Amino acid sequence: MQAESMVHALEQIHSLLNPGAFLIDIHPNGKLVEFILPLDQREQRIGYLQESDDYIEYRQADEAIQTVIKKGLFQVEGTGEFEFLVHADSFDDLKTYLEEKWSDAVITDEVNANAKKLEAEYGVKKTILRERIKIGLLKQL
Amino acid sequence: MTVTLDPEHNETHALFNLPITWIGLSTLEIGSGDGRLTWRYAKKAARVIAIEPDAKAHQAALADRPRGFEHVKFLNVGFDDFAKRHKEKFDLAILSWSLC
Repeated sequence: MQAESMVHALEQIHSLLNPGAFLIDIHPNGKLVEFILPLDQREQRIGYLQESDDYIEYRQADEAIQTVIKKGLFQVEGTGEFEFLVHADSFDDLKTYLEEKWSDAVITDEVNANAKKLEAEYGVKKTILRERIKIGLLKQL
Repeated sequence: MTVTLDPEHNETHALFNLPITWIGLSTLEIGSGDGRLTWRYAKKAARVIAIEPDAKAHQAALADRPRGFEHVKFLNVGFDDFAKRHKEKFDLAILSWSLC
């Protein structure tokens, strides 16, 4: 979705809300998503997931939210951030999942090779995808 | 293939840490997917309409509906179409990873 479409969607949501109602927005914070190999007391980073559009949509979403706040449609009532983890039995399982669910995800050859190297080195197949997510509560004005 | 999303329930904790009282709210969830997030909050809401344009995800949500969630209505529709045709107003809208 383009930034203008996001603003339009937020304006439409505004019109679907009762006076003083709330909007919760949940979206990634746009920082690089990590592949992690979980070990007993620590973890090993395998590498980062890239996106073909360089995570631009998350920055656009932030801008769209700011736009409707400036327009006086909403005000911020609360914000937060949390880690969203996807646990997979193996790096290959995670790749299969991403191919189906995350169409613009790019896993570089370097990350692929590092996953195989670390898997062999530590004897651990389980892999975690770690994403940082923003959550915001907006009140309709 | 075994893949588990957010087994730590960090998303649910973040949702319920927001300064809002959920009880009695009529809720519109936009981009509800397979209902993964819906099942985590819906018990607190009075009524939920969850819209999802992807037919496969919509079917998965219908198939996974637990008992006690009859107040949740899933619609296989995009937001634009829904907004044009729907007149009811809501106390809460949730954009669950769907703005971008």
